[in-house]
Amino acid sequence: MINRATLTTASLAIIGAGLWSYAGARLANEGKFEFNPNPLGIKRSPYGQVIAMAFQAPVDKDWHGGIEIHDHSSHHDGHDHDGHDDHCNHNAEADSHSCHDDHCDHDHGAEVAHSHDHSAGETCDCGEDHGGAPSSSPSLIDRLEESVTARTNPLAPTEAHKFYLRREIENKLRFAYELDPSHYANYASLHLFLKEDSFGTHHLNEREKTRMMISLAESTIRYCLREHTDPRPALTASAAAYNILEIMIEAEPGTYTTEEVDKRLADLDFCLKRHFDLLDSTAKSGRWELVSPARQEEILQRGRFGVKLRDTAVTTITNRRAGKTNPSAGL
Amino acid sequence: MRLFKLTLSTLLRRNTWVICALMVTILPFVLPQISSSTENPSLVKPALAQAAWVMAWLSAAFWGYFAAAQTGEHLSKSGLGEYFHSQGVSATRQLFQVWLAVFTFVAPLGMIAALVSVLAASPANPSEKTLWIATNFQYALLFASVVAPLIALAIACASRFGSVSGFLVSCSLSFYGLYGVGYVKQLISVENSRVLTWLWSASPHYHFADPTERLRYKLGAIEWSQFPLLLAYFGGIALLYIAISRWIFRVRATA
Repeated sequence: MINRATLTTASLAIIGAGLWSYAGARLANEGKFEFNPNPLGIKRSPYGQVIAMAFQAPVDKDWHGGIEIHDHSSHHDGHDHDGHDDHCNHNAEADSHSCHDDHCDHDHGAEVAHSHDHSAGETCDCGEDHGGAPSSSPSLIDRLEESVTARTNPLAPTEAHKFYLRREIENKLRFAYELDPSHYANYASLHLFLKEDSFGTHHLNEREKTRMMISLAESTIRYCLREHTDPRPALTASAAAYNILEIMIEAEPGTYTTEEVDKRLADLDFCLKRHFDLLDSTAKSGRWELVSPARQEEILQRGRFGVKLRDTAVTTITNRRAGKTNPSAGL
Repeated sequence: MRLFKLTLSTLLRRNTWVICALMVTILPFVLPQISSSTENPSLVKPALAQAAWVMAWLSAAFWGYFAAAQTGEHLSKSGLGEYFHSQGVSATRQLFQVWLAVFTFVAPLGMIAALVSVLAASPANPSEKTLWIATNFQYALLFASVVAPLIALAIACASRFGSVSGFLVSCSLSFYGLYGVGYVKQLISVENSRVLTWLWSASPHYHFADPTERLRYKLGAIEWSQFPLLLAYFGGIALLYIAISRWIFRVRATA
């Protein structure tokens, strides 16, 4: 014999399940179930921006502590950043683009504030300590840090281990980009990992790779141009616009029409103008003083670099067009 | 309602609710200091609103369900449930009274978050401000409709399986519904499994009650024509969970 309590409980369960199914089906039909999980709303939030900045440290650690070890152990030349040289060469068209730190840095923090090319055998004249002989005796914490992080394995990482480290870096970069797509280094580093086969682990063919790079750049531009007070996102947008332009310049002649190239150039000009306009308004409103001197210098330097890249692209496009009999056929 | 009063005063005297109250009222004003709003003051309000709601959800998950589970276990293990049962208070009434006492502490967390968000982070534009108030009001209601059945489930599970089980069940369901279902959907796009698709459809989509993205992008209030459907969705889940809770709940430690 079923008692009253059991009957009530069963009825509640049936009504509840029915109501849940009905409302769930209606919501699903309207596409309301579709969403991108964002725990605690951290991605693209003011908190995410700070975490994204902090995320550059683990990326640097994997880079310098793993991948570059191979270079140091296999080439006994003291300061040969082969990986960086690969970085540096990725933009052959833009001759001003000599060091990865200028454009596609995985954020060396304050290092970015000044340009320095660590090529083989050269000493750095920037006056900063880049891990050479310490100018004063390190603190106990520094020594302890050194003792627990120093590499004692005399063998260089295997190819499989290097691939694993590259994938770790790529995953971290993607996560950092999701946290803050408007962060210059996050976007530029992820773009670099997509572009350079020696870094990325995606195994995409050229066509898919180009499509992904353009898609990444376009979504970055859209996201960054939503910002109307901070001048930095517009700078990231300009880097993304330049990357699309660079893809067009490097493509086979005739792949892109003159109008398509001009449109991308106009996008780049728009982003740079937005950046400098916001820079002006930031300075006038006093918000500029809220940014640390190192970051101020970083913004100014990246702004100058953005203009330099833009000018180089314009020169390349003009020269190519001057050499063509039919400009409408492409560059 | 003696059990309700007893549970209410017990929770009040434990004073752990003070931590949650401070988390929701004070931290939203402190946390923006560690966000990028220190360099960009236009982000202070979004950071504040986000912090208020995140603190409300975290407080409910980590303290609300824990307090509920602790109370449920105490009721069945201490003999209190059996005593009240001998006094004529049925198991259903006991579950309701204990639930109401815990809910009295947890539901205000959503209201406080809404209040902090409205008073300290409202947009300057009057029409946007109206929408902002409506959005926060809607989400305070949705917050309550999500946590209410999970509190009952925590009490019921704890009364039968212990406080750790009670807490973990509700806390896990809460985070799974808020974020986990999104990852299940991502798995479906890769795996295309029928089991996963069914699991995803049958999962409680608590992310409907998470206002952080809606407030950050100032999307405005949920359309009022759609709101009853959302309440019906969470109402259905609530009825089912209440039925399960009633079925699991017991007033004494031995069967």
